[in-house]
Amino acid sequence: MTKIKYFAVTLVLLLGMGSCSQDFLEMEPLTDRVEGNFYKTEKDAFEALVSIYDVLQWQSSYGYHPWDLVSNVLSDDAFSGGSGPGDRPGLNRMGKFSSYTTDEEALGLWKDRYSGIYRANIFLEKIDGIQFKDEALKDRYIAEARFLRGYFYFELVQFYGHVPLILKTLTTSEYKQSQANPADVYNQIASDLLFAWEKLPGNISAAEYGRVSKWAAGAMLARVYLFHKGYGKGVLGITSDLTVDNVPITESNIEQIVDDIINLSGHALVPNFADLWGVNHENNKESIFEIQHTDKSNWGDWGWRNGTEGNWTVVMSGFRDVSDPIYDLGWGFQPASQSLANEFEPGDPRFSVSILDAAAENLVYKPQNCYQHTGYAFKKYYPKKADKPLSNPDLNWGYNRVVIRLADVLLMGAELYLDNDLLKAQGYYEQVRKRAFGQSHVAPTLTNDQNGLDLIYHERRVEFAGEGIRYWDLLRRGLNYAQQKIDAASSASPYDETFKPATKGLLPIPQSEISISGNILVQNEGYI
Amino acid sequence: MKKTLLTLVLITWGWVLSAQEITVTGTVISASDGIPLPGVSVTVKANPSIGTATGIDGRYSIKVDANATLLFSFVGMETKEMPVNGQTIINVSMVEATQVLDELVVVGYGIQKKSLLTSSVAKVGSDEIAKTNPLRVEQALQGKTAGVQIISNSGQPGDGLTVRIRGIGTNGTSDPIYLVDGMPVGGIDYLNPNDIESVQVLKDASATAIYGARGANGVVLITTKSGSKGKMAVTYDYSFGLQNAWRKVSLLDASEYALIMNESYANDNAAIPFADVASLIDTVGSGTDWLDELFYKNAPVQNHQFSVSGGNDNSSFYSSFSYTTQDGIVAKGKSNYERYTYRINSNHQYGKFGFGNNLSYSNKKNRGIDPNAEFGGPLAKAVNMDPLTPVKYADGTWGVSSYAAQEVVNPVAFLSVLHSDYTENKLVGNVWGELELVKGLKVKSNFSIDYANGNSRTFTPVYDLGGNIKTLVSEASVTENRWFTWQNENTLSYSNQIDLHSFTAMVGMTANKYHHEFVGGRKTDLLFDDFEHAWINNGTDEESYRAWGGADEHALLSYFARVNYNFNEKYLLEAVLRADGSSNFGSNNRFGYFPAFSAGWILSKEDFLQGFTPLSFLKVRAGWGRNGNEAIGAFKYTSIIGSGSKYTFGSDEVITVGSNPSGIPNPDLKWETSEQYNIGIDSRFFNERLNFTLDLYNKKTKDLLVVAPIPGYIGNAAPTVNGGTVTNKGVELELGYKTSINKLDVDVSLSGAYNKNEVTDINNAEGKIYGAGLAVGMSNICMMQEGFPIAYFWGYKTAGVFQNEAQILSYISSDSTVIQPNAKPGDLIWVDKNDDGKIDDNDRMLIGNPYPDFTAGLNVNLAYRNFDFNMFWYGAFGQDIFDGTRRYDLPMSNWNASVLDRWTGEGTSNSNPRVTIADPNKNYVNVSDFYVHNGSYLRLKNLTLGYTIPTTISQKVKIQRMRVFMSVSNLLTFTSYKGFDPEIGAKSALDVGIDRNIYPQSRTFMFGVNLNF
Repeated sequence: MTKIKYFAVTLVLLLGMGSCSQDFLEMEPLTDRVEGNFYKTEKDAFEALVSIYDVLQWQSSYGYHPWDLVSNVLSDDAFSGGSGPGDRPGLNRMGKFSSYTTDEEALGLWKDRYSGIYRANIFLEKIDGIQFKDEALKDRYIAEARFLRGYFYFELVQFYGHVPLILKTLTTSEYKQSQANPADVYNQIASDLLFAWEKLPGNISAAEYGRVSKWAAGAMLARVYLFHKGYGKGVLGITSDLTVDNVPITESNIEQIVDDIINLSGHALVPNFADLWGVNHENNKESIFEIQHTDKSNWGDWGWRNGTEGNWTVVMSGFRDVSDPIYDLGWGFQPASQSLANEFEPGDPRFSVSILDAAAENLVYKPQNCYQHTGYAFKKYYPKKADKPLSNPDLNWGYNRVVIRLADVLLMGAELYLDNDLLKAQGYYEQVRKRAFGQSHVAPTLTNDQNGLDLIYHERRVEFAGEGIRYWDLLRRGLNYAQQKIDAASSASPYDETFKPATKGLLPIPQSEISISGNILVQNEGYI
Repeated sequence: MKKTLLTLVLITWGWVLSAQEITVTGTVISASDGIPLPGVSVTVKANPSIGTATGIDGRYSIKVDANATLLFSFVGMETKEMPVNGQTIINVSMVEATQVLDELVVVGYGIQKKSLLTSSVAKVGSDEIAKTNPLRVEQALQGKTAGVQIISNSGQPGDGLTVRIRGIGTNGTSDPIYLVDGMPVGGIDYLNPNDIESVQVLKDASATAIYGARGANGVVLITTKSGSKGKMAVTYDYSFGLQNAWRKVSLLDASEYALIMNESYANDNAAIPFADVASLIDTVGSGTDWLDELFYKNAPVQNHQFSVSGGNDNSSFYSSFSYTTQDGIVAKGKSNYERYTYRINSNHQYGKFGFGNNLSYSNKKNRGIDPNAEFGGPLAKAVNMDPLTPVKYADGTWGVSSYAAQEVVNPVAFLSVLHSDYTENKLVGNVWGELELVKGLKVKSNFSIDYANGNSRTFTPVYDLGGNIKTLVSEASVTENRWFTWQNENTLSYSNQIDLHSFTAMVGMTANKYHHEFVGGRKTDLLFDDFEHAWINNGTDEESYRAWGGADEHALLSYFARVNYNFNEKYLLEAVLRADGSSNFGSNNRFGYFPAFSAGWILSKEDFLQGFTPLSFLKVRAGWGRNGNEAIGAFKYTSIIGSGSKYTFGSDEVITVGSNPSGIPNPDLKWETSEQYNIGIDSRFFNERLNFTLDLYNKKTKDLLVVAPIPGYIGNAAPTVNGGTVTNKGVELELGYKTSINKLDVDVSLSGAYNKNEVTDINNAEGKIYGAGLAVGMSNICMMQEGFPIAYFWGYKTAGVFQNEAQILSYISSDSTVIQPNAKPGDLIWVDKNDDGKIDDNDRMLIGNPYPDFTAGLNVNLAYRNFDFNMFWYGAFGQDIFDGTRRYDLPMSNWNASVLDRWTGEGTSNSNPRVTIADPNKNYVNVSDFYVHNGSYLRLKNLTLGYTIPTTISQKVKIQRMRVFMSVSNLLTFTSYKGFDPEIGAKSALDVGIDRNIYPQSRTFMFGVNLNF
C-alpha cells in the first residue's frame, strides 16, 4: 500500500501541471495590444487615424529625405550640398538625376508613403466594424483617412510615375503587385480628395490644428488637377481627364473649388510676408494644410528617427560650423542656387525672408566645409538659436512645414482663370504681389499666353522659394521647360546638376522592390 | 500520455521483484589523502551492467551475487578489482592513474558512464578549467572540445563570447542553452569558473533531444562543485596580471596623411588641401598617434578566490567567494569589469531520501565602450581621426578636427564625456529532493529560481566635440531591469538488470516561467556636473522628466521520457521523446514533439578483438534525433498593435498617440526544427595511453524563422515565417596521449573540427536574406542565400587595377561593350559576372566566408617533480574578415598605412587602387573583395608554468600545498590579417566577421598563487 501511495504522489507531481497546460502557455503581451483586441472603440479608431497622420512627418526612414528638401534639390532652386559628395551620396546623385536604383532615399520616400497607405487602408477596413455614437464623426475620420491616402498617393505618383495601386491590406497571395496605369492612380487620388472635400468640416478649432479640413482637400485637389493636366497628360501621356466615378472633373469644377476656398474658407493672406514663418506663426490663417512638428517630444533615437516629432529639413539646411548669435549651424544641405537668388526682383522683400545671404548678414561659418557652396541657404526653415531644442537638437527641430497656403490657391486660381477670366486671374495674382510689395504696388498685367503664365511662374518661384513647390511646377510645363531651367542653374563641377529628360524627372523604382516582387515591377526609363 | 506513463511504471515495478542477491556496502577513499570519493563507479566484473556509484560520502551499496567480483572505477584512478567472497562490507582505497578508464558524464536529467554513451558528449573537468585561470567559463572551453567554436566578441572586459556548437544552423539565435545544475540560465558570465566541477557539451541530437524545443543549438550542462566527506578543505587562489594590446594597427602619420590627402584631391583635379606640407610638418611633427592615446598600457587584472568544503557521513558542503577586477586595454577608466561571487552548495542523504541545494549570488559591474562599431566606437574614431589635430590645444581645451566629420571626433575627448555603468545582481539557486521508492525506482523533484536585477546609469554632460557629437544640456538617466525565472522539474527513473539485459527508464516533466520588467527615467539640466551626482533628482528641468517601463513573459511546459538498454555492456540502445509547449507560438502550433534514437556497439568486448592487444577500447555509435529552437521572441504569431506612432495636434502642440499593427502577422508560425545524424567512434589504445574519438555529423535545420523581406508597398514590417533550411556537415576528432617518462608526466591532446555550412533553401522569391552592412553606405555585406554558406560576404570581385587607358578600353564584355568606360587608370577592375557589359548588383557574388572551415586546439600538459606546465594553442582556419575599419564616406578620414601601397602609376600596384575623394569608379564604395582578408590565425592562447613548493617547506607555515605560477595569454598570434585582431565575433547571425575596429584581445602576463590549507 505504501508503494501505491508513493506512486500516487509521484504521478500527481509529474502530471499535475498537465491539466492547466493551456492556461500556463496562453499569454498576452503585457504592454501591447494585439490586432484581435484592437479596432473596437471610437478611441481605437482615433488612435488608428493618428497613426496615419504620423507618417506625414516621416523624413528619414532610409537616409534623409524630407519631401521639401528633396523637391528643392531636384529643382533649379538648390543643389544637394552637405559636407562633400560622399555626404548622403544618394541625395547628391538625385540632384544630378543619376540616382542609383539602390539609393536609400528613393527607397525611403517610397516606403514611407506606402506605410501611410497601409495604415489608411487598414483603418478604412476596420472602421466599418466600429460603433460610433456620432455617425458624422465616423464620416469625418473616414474622410481624413481618405485625404491622407490620396495625399500619399499623389506624392508617390509625382516621384515615381508608375506605382502599384493598393487600396486594401494584402494577404500573402496578393503580395505580387504590378504597377497601375498612372491614370488610375490619379483618378483614385481625385476620388479620395473629392470624398474628403465633401465630408470634411471647414472649420478646424485651434485645439485641432493639424487635422485636415475641407479646404485642405480642395486645395490639394486643385494641385492634383494642375499636375495631372500638365505632367500626367503632357509627359506621362495620360489621355483621359481626371475622373471620379466615371464623371470627369472639369476645369470649372476646380475653379469653383478654388473660388470657394478664396471666398468662403476664412483663410486669408497674412499681411506681412515675414509673419508667415517661425514658431510663433505656425498654423496661421493663410495656412491651409500644414505638417506639424514639435520640439516638445525632445526625444532622441538615431536608430528610429521617424519616432521623433522633429523636422529634419531644419538641421539639414543650416550652413556648416556657424557661429552666430541668431543662426545655428546645420549640415549644409540644399544650398539655394544663384539662379533662384537672381529670380527675385530688386527690392522684393521676400528675398531676405526666404534666403539667408551669408555675405549680406556677415555670417561667421566655414564655407569650405559646405559642398556645392553658394553662400545662400533657405531661410524659412533655417535653424535659429532661439528655437533650438534642448536635447538632441538634430532630431527635434519643431518648425512646422506648410504644405499648401492661400497664396498658392490664389496663384493656382490665377493660372486656372488665365484662359477664361483674365480679370479674375489678375485679381488673384495681384493679391499675392501686393502682399509682398505693398498695396500701392502696380502689378504686371497677365495675358492669356506664355507671358502671362511666365509671370505666374515667376511669382510662384519667389513666393514659394524653399517650400518644395518649384520642381513640380517645372515638370508640369513639360520636360523641355524643366531641362532648360534646371540646366540654366547648373554650372561647372561640383554645380553640374543637369536634367536627364530620359528619366522624365522621375526617381528610380527602388531596386529592392523590383527584386523582392520577383521582377514584376518595371524600372522607370533612364535608370539601369 | 498519462496512460502510457502508468503502464510504464507498472511494468517496471514488476521487474523489481526478480532481484535476489546479497548486499555489499562500503566506502571508497582516495589512497593519497584518505578523502572519500563520490561518483566512483561500482560494477560487477562479469556483468558490468550491474552497477552503482558512490554517494557524496564515498559510500556505496550494491546487490550482487556472493561470488561476484566488483570493479571500482573512477576518473583519474586505477580501476580496482575486489572479489566479494561473501563479504558484505568492502572498503576500497583507490590510487591515482595516469589513464582515464571510465568516466561518468552528466547527460540531460542523469549521469551516464562515458563508455556506455551512444551520443556525442564532450566533457571538461575542473582540473582542466583550473589550468588556464580563466575569468569566464567559456574561455575554459575554447579549443578543448572538437566542434565547439568559441570566439570572443571583443577583448573588452566582461564582453561575451560567441559559442557555436557544430556550426551555425540558424539566422536567429544560435547560442546553445546553458543549464547550471539543471536550471536554464541566459548566460554564464555570473559563474566563478572555480566553482565548476564539470562542463559537458551535448553535441548531437540524440543527446540534446531531451531538451526538445531548446536543444537545436546544442546544450551545455554545468555542474557546480560539492564538498566531500572528511577534513575541511580550504583553498585560496590569487592572481594578478598586466594586460596590453598584442599589436598595434599602423596608421598614417601627419606627413603621410597630408601626402595621401593631397594626392586624393589632385586625382580629382580639385585643389589640394595641404599646399605647404613642409610647414605643416614643422608645426605638428608626426602628428597625434590616436591609438597611443587610447590604449591603456599595463591594464591590471586580478582575481581572489576563496573556498571551503567538507562533509560528514550524511552531509557535505562547498562554499566559495571570489572577487575579480579587470581593466580594459582600451579607454582607461571607461572599460572595466568587477565581479563578486558567492556560493553555497550542500548535499544531504538520509537513508533513501536525499536532498540538496545550490545557491549562488553574483554582483558585477561593467563599464564599457562600443567594442565593434563604425559610428560609436572610440577605436573607430581613433583610426579615422586625422593625425593633424592635437589631443589638446595649448590652452587646455580639446582638439577639434577641421578635417574629420560627423561621428569621427577626438576620441580622447569623447572618452572624457562617456559616463555610464551597468550593475547586475544575480541569484541562482535550486533545491532538490530525491527518494528511492523501491530499489532502482527514484523520484526526484527540483525547484530552481534565477533572479537578476540590472541597473544601468548614464550621465551625459554638456559637450561639443565637433562633428555631430554634442549635447546642449546635461542629463541623468537610469534604467532598472528585473528578471525572474522559476522552474519546477520532476522525474521518475527506474533502472534494473535482468541477466545480461540492463536498462534505465526515465519520465519527467518541467514547467518554466520567465518574467521580465523594466523601469527607467531621466531628467536634464543637472545641479552637478559629474557622474557621481548624476541622479535624476539632481535634474532641474521639470519639463524634461521622462519615465519608461514595460514587462514581458515566457512560459514553457514539457514532458519527456528516455529509455536506455544495453546487453552485457556491449550492445547499447537509447530512445528519447520530448513534448514541448511554448508560449512563443500560436495555438495552431503550441506543442512540438522531439524524438531521438541512438545505438552503440562496444567492439572491444567482442571475442574476435580480444587478441588484438594494442586496442584497449573500441566503440562505434550512431544516432538520429530532432530538436527545436523556440527562441524567436514572443508574439511573432500575432500582430502587435504598437503605440509608437505619434502626431502633434493643436496650437498647444499636444503629442497624440496613434496606434497601428507593428507588423504583418503569421498565425502559423512554429519553431525551427533541427535533425541530425551522428556517427562516432570512441577508442583507446596502448594500455589506455592513446585515445581517439571521431565523429561525423549531418545536421539539417529546417523551418528557419526568417523575416522574409516583402515589398515595401505592402506597407508594414514583414512577418516572421518558417522559410529556410541550413545544413551543417562536419568531422570532429579528438586525440589524446598520456604517458610518464621517468618523472615527466606528459599529457597531450589535440582536437580538430571541420564544418561545412550551406544554406539549402530560403523560402522567398529571391532565395536570399540580406544581412548586415556598414551603416556608411555599404549595404548587405553579409548575405544568406541558397547554395552558399550562411552570412557569406556578398560583393564585387576585382580583377586587378587598370594600368592604362588601353586596358580600360579593352576590358569588354562578349558583346564588345566597354564595361567600365568611365574608369581611370588606377581604378579597380570589376568582374562582370553576368557578362552584360555593366557593373551592378547582379554582379555581386561570394567574396568570402566569415566562418572557419577548420578549428583546432592543442593542449600540452607537462609535469616534472614540482613543476607543471601548460601550453594551449588555438587556431581557426579558412575564415575571412571584411575590413570595415575606414569611414570612406568621410573623405578626410585617416587611412591604414597599407594605403601607401596604392596605385600611383603604371605598374605600381595591381591590387590597391588609386586614392580619390570623388571615387567615380566606386573603388572604395563598392562592397568588394578589396576589403576581404584571410582571417585565419593560430594563437598561443595560454602558457603557464607552475611550481609547487615542497610540502616540507609549506607545512611549516600550516599550508598543505602551495603553488605559484606565471602565465601568459595570447603570447603569440600568427595571422596575415592586419587589423586589431583576427578574432571577430558575431553581432548577430547575419552580421559576422565585419571588422569595425574591433576591441582587440589582450596579451596578459599573469602571476598567481594557489594555497590549500
